[in-house]
Amino acid sequence: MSIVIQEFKCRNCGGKLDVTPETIMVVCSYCGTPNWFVEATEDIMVVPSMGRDDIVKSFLTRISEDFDLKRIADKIQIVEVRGVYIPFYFFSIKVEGFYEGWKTERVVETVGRRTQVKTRRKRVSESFSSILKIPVLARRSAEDFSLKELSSHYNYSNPPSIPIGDIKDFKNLKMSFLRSEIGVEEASVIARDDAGDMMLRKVSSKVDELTKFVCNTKIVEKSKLTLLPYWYIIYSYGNAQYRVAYAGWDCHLLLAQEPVMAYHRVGYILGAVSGCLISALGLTFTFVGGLNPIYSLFSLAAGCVVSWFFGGKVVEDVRIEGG
Amino acid sequence: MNYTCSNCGGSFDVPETVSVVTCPYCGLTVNIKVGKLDFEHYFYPAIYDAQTAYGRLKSILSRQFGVPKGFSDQINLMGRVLHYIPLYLFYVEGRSKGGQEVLEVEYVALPALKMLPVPIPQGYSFPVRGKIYFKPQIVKDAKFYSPTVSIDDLEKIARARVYNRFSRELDLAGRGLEAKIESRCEGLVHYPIWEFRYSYLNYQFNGFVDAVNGEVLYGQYLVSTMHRTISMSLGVGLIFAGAIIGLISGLALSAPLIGLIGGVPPAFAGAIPLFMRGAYKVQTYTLKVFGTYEREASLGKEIIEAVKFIGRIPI
Repeated sequence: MSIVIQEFKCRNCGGKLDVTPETIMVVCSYCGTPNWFVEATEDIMVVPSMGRDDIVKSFLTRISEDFDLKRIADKIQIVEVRGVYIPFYFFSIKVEGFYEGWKTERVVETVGRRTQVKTRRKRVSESFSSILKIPVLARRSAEDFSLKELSSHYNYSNPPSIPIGDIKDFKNLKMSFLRSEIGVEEASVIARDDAGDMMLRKVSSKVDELTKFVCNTKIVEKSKLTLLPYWYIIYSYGNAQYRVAYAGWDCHLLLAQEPVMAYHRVGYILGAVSGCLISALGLTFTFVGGLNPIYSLFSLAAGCVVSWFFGGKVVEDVRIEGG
Repeated sequence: MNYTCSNCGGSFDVPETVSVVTCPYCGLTVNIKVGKLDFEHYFYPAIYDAQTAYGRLKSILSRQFGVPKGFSDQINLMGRVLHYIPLYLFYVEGRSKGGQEVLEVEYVALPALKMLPVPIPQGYSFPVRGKIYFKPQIVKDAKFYSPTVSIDDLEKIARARVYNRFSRELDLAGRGLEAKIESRCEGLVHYPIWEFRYSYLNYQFNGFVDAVNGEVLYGQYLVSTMHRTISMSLGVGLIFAGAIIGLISGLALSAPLIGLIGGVPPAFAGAIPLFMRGAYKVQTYTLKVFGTYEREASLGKEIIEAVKFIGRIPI
């Protein structure tokens, strides 16, 4: 069996183009003409991105203002800045249904001069109807650092988008476009599933035991394939490297990795000590005050969790900060 | 069974149980029973070359707690291999038939090897960067692996993953609903991962880097004696602090023993990570798939739930 590799040529000058199954558009390296590899470019929307320099500027501003970073600003060096357009579909989905379950309630009852606190299991059932905005990443089995934050920031800030064919300045646009791997039909099935799961999580937190959950989903509105600009900067401090991710349309910080300094570690040690305090006070109060002994178990458990959590952080290599 | 590659002419052994094979020399993948492939086959080109990927590994190791100063400059690279791991991609859809709608869908990527030569973290999602069709020139100097698990077995695993969530949702929606889980194979992808072997003093280590997105999956390093001593002392100090704090808060409420009992166990819990760091000279970095940020958010949520629960207990 022989392998046939199809060669693609620029429609303007005939120069050789480097095309992969991922390619939506490639700018000819000889003459600068954009060559499209999608049937209908009007079906793809692009959220215009700020330039590379704006992203770098925003990072430098953060270094000079951030409480932790400004102390080490002179030792920070930018190693890599990269921008990429990531394809998403956005759906508005109407979820309607109802749920049934059990909820435990505490009731105070006064009989004569005695006041009693009783717990009761109460049957709850409620119907719901709301509209959810669901993003679907149009790629298979793919999730990168902070893409979830990228789509939720898009939903929150709602930036304008333009048809991909309207982008003029291709030569200066130093970003790659990722092709979608999922059609709008498949994406809508995923979106309906996600909407149902989201509702299930929401009602599960309202009851102690869920016994019935019926949910119908209907797509109210679907967006065209939308390419969101995503930038990340890798910077070094000492010999180590850290990553910061930005939304390209407004330079909004999505997630940032930052070095753990000695004073953070001291803080974490104090956190671990506070776990001991929670537990010790809880136990003594329960004992001295003659409260339900189960409280002592809880304070012991809570103290252990807090202490173990901070103890682990003492030896951690990186901190994550959200935008 | 011996098989000769139709692309490069190399011959290699093929286990009887598998039908889809990858030539270890050039990476061509075929179904040997039909002579071609009945689904799409892609490669991910290694976007991070050996030098850059090794740089990423060193930079991650340098930021670990307790790593000796200058560790990344002093380690010696002893060898490197680019592993191409076969992954099958599946689309699985569970759907109720008629009546109440219940829906569960997922794309699942599963490594098609019984023994993985690289440590891929559980739940690792393979990243967003361009995959390409097979081209012999991009795949030299790499080690290719033929799938050793049949596509049917993997499809069962993929379906089982969706089944658990789907069956819970079905139960909640009502008894007696008819439902079906359907799945299809979306193709085979060969995915590149760098392995580096390096040494420091008399120790030998290895590390793995995703060659598509530069993510460091795994890396071994040394903890300096000074830092091991510091972590051990901090651990011991924390236990003492716990005891003292317990004793003081106990004395304040005139129940010193109870205070002590309350203060010491959390101190031990907090000291475990410190002792672990102090106990072993060689430590391992592994990628946390769900990210520290998410873990902290979910822990915070659980604590709130626990507090709510405490409120429900009768006094």
